[in-house]
Amino acid sequence: MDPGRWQQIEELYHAALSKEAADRASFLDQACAGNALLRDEVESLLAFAADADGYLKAAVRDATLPPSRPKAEALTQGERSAEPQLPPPQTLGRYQILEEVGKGGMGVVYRAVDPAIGRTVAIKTILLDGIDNEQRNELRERLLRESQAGGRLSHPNIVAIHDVNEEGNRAYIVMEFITGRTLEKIMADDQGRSLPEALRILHDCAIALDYAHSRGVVHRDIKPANIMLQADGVVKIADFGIARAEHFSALTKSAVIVGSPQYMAPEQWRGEAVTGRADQYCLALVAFSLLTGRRAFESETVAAMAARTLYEDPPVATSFNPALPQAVNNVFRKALAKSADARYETCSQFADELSAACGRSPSNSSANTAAGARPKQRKWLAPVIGAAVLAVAAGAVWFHQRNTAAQIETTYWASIKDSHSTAPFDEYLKRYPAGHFVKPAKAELAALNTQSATESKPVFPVTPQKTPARVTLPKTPAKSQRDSQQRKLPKTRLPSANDSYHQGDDLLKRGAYAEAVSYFSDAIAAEPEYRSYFGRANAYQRLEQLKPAIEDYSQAIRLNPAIAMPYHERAVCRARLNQDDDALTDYNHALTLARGYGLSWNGRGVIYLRRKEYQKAISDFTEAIRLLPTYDQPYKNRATAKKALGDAAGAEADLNRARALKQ
Amino acid sequence: MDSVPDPGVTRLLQAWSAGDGKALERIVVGLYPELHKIAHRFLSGERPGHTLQATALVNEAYLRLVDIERVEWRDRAHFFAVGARIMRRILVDHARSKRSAKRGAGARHIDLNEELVVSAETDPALLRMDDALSQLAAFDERKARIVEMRYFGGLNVNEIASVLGVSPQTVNRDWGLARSWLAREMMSDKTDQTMAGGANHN
Repeated sequence: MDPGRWQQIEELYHAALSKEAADRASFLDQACAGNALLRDEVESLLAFAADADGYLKAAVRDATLPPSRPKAEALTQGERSAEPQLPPPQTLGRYQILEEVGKGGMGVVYRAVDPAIGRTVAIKTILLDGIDNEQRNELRERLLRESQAGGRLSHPNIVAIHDVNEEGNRAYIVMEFITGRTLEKIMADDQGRSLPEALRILHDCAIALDYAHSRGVVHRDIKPANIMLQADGVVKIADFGIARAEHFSALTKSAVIVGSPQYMAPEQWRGEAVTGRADQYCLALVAFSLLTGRRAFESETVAAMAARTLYEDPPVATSFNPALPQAVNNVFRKALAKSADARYETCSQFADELSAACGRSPSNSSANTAAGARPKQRKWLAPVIGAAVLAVAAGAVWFHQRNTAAQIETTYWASIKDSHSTAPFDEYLKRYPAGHFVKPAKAELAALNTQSATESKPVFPVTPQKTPARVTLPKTPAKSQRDSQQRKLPKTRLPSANDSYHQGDDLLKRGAYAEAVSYFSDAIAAEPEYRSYFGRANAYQRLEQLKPAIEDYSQAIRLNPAIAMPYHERAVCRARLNQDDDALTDYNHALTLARGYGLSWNGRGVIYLRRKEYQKAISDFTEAIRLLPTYDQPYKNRATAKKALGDAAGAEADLNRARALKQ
Repeated sequence: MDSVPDPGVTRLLQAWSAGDGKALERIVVGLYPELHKIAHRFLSGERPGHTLQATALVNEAYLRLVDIERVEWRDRAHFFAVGARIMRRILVDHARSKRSAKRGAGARHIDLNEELVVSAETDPALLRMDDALSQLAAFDERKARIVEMRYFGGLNVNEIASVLGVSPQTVNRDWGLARSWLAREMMSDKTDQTMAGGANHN
């Protein structure tokens, strides 16, 4: 393409775009003055102006779709194949394998016989392929430790663990063999279940969990798939102590973790220490599904799931199932509190309160009273449950091991950053007013607001409910609940603070400092934000108005004390004003927050230099050089310090390096 | 665990934004295998049920490699600019290999000339986009970079402006025309020379 021609096209393209669509043709006629080729070219480009963005996005998106996996699709209901290629073993250790009964997250579950005592057992295998020896040892140790913890538990409602061992490329856990169905399957298959039955299951789970907690064992992965119901109605909680070890195995293989994002407590997402109250939270989620047929939190993406769990109030249970008494809402609110401290003392307390709220005495709930046909005993548990609960159950894989707050934030950001509507960005800013992506979020907002009103998307796409044929729950409340959730999202237009800030920022970059000060001041007047104070301080600093700069940096620090930059800059200002003590404090602070910030090392070195503490100065400059090897100033400074200590040769060498860098 | 932020990358970023041009090369060298690893996991379907955005991949690499507490916003933009380029390469390689796989076992060794004969119709959109981007870069590199950063790195207008040292308005203008041009090139497929503006098909 000839540059002149390209420039011509560019100018015409933008000029035409700035015209009303109806006027473009006549504009081009005139502007191209008979040059039909040029006119065609511009016109063909204009034709793509509206759709190009979506088209390119789709091109990139399609390329990142993973290949379809028909095999995985065939395996539903949370049963993933992890070792499809291996023939089933005849024996494992002393156990004789009878048949394969299921597939777990990391391996296969077999029915087997322990010939020593003729007992039928279940053996769960965990494939150790593809991990190195060190990881293998760690996994083995962990598996042992954790299953020992589980093995110490002896309770009628907990699946007993008999043995843990390893053979070939498999670790295996020998467990009590249960004939029954998981709650997950029951909720999926059953036509309905009585309220008393649901409460009884929850109650028995709660008792078992409290027992484990009293022995220092937390399950950590309570979900319908881990709660089993024997044919005789006895509840059994499976996988005590194993879930985590299994996760570890998955982790070592691919740095991701297999698990169930729908059933994780906020503290688990945060990667914090987990107590029995996390199990209570998850049990409450199970209860919520059982009683309402809906999950409390539902999202298409893991990031959104984390965000919801961490920040959103659970929906009101009675809005999904109006037949429930209002009192259950309070019970759920408490058990699903974001802070573990705010929940019930014990799981059984929760279960009892829930029973009481449903108008049944706690003792009553554990009896098999389904026969009594009181008016309240209708079929609460509609078949809705199945589809709703299973929709996301299969194969959710993600990383949560190191979900620091920052990572969750970043993941969350990644999930919204390509949104076409303002709501997600508003929501982000609401959640993370001092977050890492405040600036890009506001920039996106600004960009979106300058575009004409586009269609708005909710932050969290509401998973379409697969509604089975017979729905006993009235639809309207559920829908209005969804609507109200969407309505909750702020739809406010951008505050002018944002525009002012960006204007100021632009001016700052262009060196128009005085004008920048005025725009930042506007922004601060509209909204006293960290970034605007920081920006104005920067502008003042360049204008050599150091005192107001210091004041603004102080404001910025007050608003966001975890960022090193304002400390550093304030130190620079203070050093310029010969307030060395204060400057030193600031540099120390900056370096505590960001040890890798070379300029602060250099700055602190200068303070030491002035104080004639040459050794300290040299050490700081050396660190600055290490961090910023191409910056000449620390070399010069170190030369001064070396000279003062009488090291003329060293000083000369540093000066030479500084000169070389300058060029 | 490999998700511990690498102090080296953090430092390189800081050095880069402090003007050390060589740091960039070292970032790329360090970043490529990491991104490749992450991308491979997704592209091979090892994370079932999850589709993903290229930009999220770069994000994940960023999380793994960079101590985000210590990196300023501008440094982040630089990182994502590098990430965008690498991401483009990875995705294009992947699309190519998928395409050759599709052509069946008999065509395992396709020589370069043969590749070029393939009509645009059968090519995934990404490969057409990549071709068009290369053409664009030949006569307007800045616009091509903007598109790359935007679609493969997920940088927003302000971040791109900061990386390129131009105003956001310029970025917006460039981006607008560039994407129209690319979309048209990709849509009008084949090799309509008048429309392609004389771009050469290497």
